[in-house]
Amino acid sequence: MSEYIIDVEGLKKDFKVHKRDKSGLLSSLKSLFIRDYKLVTAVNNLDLRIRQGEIRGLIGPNGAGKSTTIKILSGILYPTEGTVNVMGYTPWTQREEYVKKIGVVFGQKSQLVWDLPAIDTFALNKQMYSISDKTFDNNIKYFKELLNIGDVITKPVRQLSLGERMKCEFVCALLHEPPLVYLDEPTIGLDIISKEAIRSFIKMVNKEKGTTFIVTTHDLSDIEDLCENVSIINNGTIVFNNSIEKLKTYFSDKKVIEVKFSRQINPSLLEGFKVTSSGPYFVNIEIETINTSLQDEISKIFKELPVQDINVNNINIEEVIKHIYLS
Amino acid sequence: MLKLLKLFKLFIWNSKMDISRSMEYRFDFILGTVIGLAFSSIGPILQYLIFTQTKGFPGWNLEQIILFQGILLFTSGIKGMIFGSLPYFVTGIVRKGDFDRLLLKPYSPIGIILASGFRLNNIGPLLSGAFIMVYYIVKMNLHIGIVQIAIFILAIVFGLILFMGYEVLYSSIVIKLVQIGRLDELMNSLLRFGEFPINIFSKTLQTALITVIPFAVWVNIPANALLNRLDYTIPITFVFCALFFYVSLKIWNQFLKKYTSAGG
Repeated sequence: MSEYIIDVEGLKKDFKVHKRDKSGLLSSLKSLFIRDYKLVTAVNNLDLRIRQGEIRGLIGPNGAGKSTTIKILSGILYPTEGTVNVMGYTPWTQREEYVKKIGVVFGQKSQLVWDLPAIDTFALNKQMYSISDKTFDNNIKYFKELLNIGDVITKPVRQLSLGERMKCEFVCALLHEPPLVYLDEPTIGLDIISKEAIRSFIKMVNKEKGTTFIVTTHDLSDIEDLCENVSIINNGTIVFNNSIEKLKTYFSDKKVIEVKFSRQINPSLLEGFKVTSSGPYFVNIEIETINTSLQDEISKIFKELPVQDINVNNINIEEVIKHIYLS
Repeated sequence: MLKLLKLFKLFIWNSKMDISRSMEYRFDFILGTVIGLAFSSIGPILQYLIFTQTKGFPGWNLEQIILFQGILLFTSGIKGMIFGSLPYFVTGIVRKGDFDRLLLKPYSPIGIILASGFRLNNIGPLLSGAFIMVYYIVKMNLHIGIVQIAIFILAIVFGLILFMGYEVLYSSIVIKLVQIGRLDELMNSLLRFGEFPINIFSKTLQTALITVIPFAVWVNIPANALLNRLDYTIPITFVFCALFFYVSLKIWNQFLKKYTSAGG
């Protein structure tokens, strides 16, 4: 088998969507008889390779094509063009065999039966994936301990909190021990404690079972906490594909100097600095190390400003991503 | 064959879950069953009124027509119990994009849909239909042999195959058009042609009801089997039922490729 668990080349997906130029009743009535369509390219010539055992972050702005990519990779959608090889399968043509090898968690969609305890959905999954009694019992025990859901799984799902429900969604996705799991916004809406529990769980399963995870999220702390590598999708194509460390040092020639003042200053003192944000007792100054020496800039700050504390940082990862999204 | 067995097991699981769900909301279940029983008695009463106040149906006496109604209730009860939840289920999952979940399971998605239709609440018509049917078989002193029983059972089976085809076709249209509104009512109205003795219709419609839209299989053939009115059209109707199902599956496979899911 190839060293890559996922190998995608030239992936493209077009959707034909109905468009209405104007709002209002007349326009609606017109659309009853005459309809204009436009072709929207959700994924455009996307290439992606992911190694076995990775936790790969897949991020991008809304409508960038992340979910469409995940849906094609998981066999839900047929692509317009391109080749996809996941563990030797073409997801949309060999779907029934392929999905036995994957797990999927959609943060915004539940696969649990709403009126019944989660354990009933687990039992249904046992049936669907032909999981042996021994494997099922062992895995339920393992997940119960790891996620602390001993009492949770016997309560009707409608009575569970979002965090508890999400833990049960993970059990559903992992019960049949898939080597590859897609997580589409798995921590959406969760509090910090639940997020932490979910992230620890993902890391533990990745470490102990070698499961590969593909995570799409808007929460950068998920990416920073979980992933070594990140792929950024924008306008349907990959615009960044490297390690988190590389992303953090994306602007290697730019630094942000955070300065705290010992007393309130007159804003005129900040003239001559490239200020990104400031207040009466602080300022953040951005410098480009190609044009200015860091040492000179710090000397200047000490000389001209009442410095109480000073920190030199790389450009914030959120700023980097914002820059990539907008570029 | 193995796939069919797996789907049957899945149907049993889904049915068990529906029963568990019904037991969670006991009052709803009891009320639903009582109302189902009450409503199911309206059909035979209505037919009795129509029959006694009009010229009736040519070729059918009152007892035969009540037996016909009993079979109608019985077969509707079976269809309702096995596939009763399907229209809501399919429309709901496709509109909300939850159909994705079905595509993530190691089964044919249409297989999962067909195995998810169990509805315990439809036990009412099934029981009342069975009661009326047995009562009138005894009352009319019908002599039913093995051949009649076999054709009766085959008609029920092929009727279910036809209804599966109908549901597959319905699901295909939902996949393609997402919101279909009153098409559901239109299709249900078409099905009603199968709820009357076919000899009340024109010759053309009669031919259609035993061939291209073989709705005669639901009530007419089982009733004729019990009344020992067997003829050569029965196997033809069975073949058309299987054909209808086959064609609906082909349409489904084509439409499935057009599935667009819902936005993230």
